[in-house]
Amino acid sequence: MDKKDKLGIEIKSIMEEETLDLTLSQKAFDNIIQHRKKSLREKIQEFINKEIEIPVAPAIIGFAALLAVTLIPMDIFKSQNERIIDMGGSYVIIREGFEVSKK
Amino acid sequence: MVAEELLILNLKRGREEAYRQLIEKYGNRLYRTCYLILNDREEAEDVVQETFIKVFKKIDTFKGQSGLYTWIYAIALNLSRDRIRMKQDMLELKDEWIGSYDVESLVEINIDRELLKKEIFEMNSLYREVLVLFYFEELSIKEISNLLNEKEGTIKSKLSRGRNILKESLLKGGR
Repeated sequence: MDKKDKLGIEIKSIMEEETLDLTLSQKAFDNIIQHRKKSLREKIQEFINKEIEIPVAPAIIGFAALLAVTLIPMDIFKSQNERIIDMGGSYVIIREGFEVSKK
Repeated sequence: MVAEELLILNLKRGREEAYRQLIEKYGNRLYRTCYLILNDREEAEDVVQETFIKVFKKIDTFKGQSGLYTWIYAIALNLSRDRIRMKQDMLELKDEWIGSYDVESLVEINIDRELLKKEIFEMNSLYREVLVLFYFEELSIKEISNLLNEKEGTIKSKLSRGRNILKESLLKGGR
């Protein structure tokens, strides 16, 4: 199989001639570059510059819930379970629920 | 070789300049070869893009057992073959070529360039692929055999068959 016989030379010449004007387009070049592996520095920068989208409705609900937990006193409903009876100057407190004290 | 090692190192580090350098160095060459194999400019460009993207993803696994271009080339050829397979253009070929007669031994023929060009692009890609690697890329039988992971005998058979197809057509003056 000689590369330099008449047929071989002609094949090579035709192939070279047919591909002479072929160059990768800028679009293809850019597309390839976009997919390259990024360096650690770029990854960090990308993370810092990342835009975060927060949906408004769930965010407000969440914030309101957080406020409620932190601002409303925990014993707000406690008094509803208590009855105070005045028996001749003595007060008897009746609780519907009861607490189990830890030893 | 040192320059190539440096390029690989910078690719592994993710340096943009190295990526640009790699595409500038091998992009057009790869595109031309893929075009000759696929006979379709758009498809060839797609394959080149896919090849480089794959190279970028797998660059950390590159051990340097073969040259960088050989490695890139092997990826491109596999992707080209996948495309061809999708078109069901490939033929099954046995290791031995059994021709009707030995066209190789025929006396030199007059070559009709236009006809030869037509035949090159119309022949089965299985043979065209080897012709491209042998004549256009100027690879040896051994290099092609390593690249395609096929026996040297198979490559010789394909090459011989490819040449015979072209010679027969030239002798007949077209199909």
